[in-house]
Amino acid sequence: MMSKRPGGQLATRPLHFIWIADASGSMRDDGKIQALNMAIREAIPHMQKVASENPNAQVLVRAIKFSSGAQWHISQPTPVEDFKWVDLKADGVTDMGKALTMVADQLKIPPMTDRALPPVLVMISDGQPTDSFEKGLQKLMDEPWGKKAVRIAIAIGKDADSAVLQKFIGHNEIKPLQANNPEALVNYIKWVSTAVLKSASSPASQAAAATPAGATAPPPIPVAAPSAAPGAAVMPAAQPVTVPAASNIPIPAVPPPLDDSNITADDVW
Amino acid sequence: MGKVPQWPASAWRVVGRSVQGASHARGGMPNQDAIQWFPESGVGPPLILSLSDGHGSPRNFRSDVGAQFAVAEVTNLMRELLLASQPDPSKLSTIKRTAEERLPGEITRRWRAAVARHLKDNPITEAELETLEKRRDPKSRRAIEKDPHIAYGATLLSVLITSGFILYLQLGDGDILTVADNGEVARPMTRDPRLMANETTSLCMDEAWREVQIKFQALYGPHPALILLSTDGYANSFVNDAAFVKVGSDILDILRTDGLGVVEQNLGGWLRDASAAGSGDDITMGIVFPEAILSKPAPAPTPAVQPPKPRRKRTAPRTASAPKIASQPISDQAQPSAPPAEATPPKDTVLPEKMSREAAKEEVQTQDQHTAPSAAAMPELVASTESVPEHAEVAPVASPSEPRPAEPPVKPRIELIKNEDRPREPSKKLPDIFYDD
Repeated sequence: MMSKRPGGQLATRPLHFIWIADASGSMRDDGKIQALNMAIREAIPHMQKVASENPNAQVLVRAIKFSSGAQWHISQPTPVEDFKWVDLKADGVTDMGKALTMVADQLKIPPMTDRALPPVLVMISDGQPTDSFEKGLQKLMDEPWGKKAVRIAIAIGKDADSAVLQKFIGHNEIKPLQANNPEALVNYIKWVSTAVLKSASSPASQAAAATPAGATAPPPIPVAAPSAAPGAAVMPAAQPVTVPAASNIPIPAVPPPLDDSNITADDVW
Repeated sequence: MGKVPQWPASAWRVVGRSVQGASHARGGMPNQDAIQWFPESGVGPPLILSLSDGHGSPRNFRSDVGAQFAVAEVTNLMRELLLASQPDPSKLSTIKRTAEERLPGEITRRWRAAVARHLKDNPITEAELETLEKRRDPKSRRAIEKDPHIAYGATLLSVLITSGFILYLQLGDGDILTVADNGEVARPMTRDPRLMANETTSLCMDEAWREVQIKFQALYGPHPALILLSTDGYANSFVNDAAFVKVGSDILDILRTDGLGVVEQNLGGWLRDASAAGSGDDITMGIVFPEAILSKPAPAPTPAVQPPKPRRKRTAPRTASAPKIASQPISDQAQPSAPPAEATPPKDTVLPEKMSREAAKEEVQTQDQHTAPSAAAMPELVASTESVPEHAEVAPVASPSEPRPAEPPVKPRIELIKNEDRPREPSKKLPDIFYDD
């Protein structure tokens, strides 16, 4: 005998992916904002492909920009299959703290649900905060989903404040990714959109199962050191393949610079 | 053994299923949940229903075994509490205090002891450690080398129903719902706000006993019309908590309207559908209810399925789900008088859904070539015979003529506390959190 299924509406688990993008005036310099727009636009199909491989997670993407104040650039959590990037325009100062406060508001429960997968927050910046970054970060950390989020940061150019980005990440073993040219930025944006998204959207047991027992894991990959500014924080070359994130989501190895041999010449930011 | 508990006017019944998660199936991972009930007839009181969710992250690579230890040990412990409450089960306050002060420490101690026995016979292998290191990091490997219990990490949900009281126990995530006669759904346990983002407290953590929640309900007044236990994969499959909680009242309606047979027939499908359209996680659910709520006569108690014969040694890395241990038969000494609905089940209902007897045997034979059943380290459960149909997808089917192995009787090692006993020290610090998949 057939019988109706008990309970209300079924749903896959939401995974909120939020771009937190610097749209300050300095991003106009040397084509940084154009490079960022292009990098995210190019990453979307890859992001959609990764998301489609896990039908039990619903990836929802949105973006917030900060310059003089902060504003939701794409305000609605948009299913990744429908997500379209709208180009950012650069102007004003770097009110990063305000952006974090606004993100924190969106990570409250509600509107978030406690059944979600850990959110992925990607901070991209080329400068130093001009408002109270600490206050914004504290508000983010006051929210359970803020604490448990996978937090990744990309520093664009040598003027980016790596110390601030490190505080945003909140984990000593994960360093800001230093992008000093458009190719590196594309590389890192693609990595965040695919490898990190896959790790966050798939229970670890699935990821483990994808590697048969006894199979050879990819070797550790040196990370971004050649393109980093002198003294800038980078991931150590001997970093293991994965490192634990604050959220307990294993972070995959970061891709190497595209051309190690000519990094200095390629550094434009 | 003590005196036999008194049967109430209405018998209670239990039904449960455990299904492999959709994402686990895609990834070739086993079902890491476990379920067990007692007595084997599924008719009480007394009735004990227990669920466990093995964490399943790479660090908890033996969590399916740990989950089975969890349900086995808590079942034994609940039986001992039941026996210890004799010959005077009316001393509810003493029973309550004993449960609250002794059970948390006992269950975590016994689970660790069971794991230690398993480790003695099946030490962590270099291959397991290498695999862990490749999948996670050297730090995870060091953690297992320091404390191999972590490999078995699991949660625990359990309920004991007697004629005089109901006792709930929980460690880690998962849900216990009670449904009143009017359909109103409640949670007897306090929800732990730390348990989100697949993180949970665990039997494998230091001082796990501090995280055990106990709730004692004396049955002076109206009792629940239904009690539902489920692993977190089920609640995570609904769009919100209200949609999940509705399961309680809906199942009560279905039981009343369509009868127990419909629930037994559909439960596995409901859980599979939920996993596929929802969390993708393994899902296990057990339901306990008084027969009096049924408008139609309940079918015969759940039939028996014989679990695989236990093995002592693991001969190869586990590649598939270990057979699940169903509820264990009550020993001769502890056997209560025949419950009202006790009946010999029809043989054709022994098999799990959509699986022939031959297919079941074939699957078990295949598995036996690669795996050591978890029962290997649980000699105390050798005689487990009760069916949990969904798990029987990997369990051989009992031959009707095959004699049931004798089970050692449960010895009441737990005693009711005395007045001079000091109360348990309350939890002071936040523990480590484990990653639950």
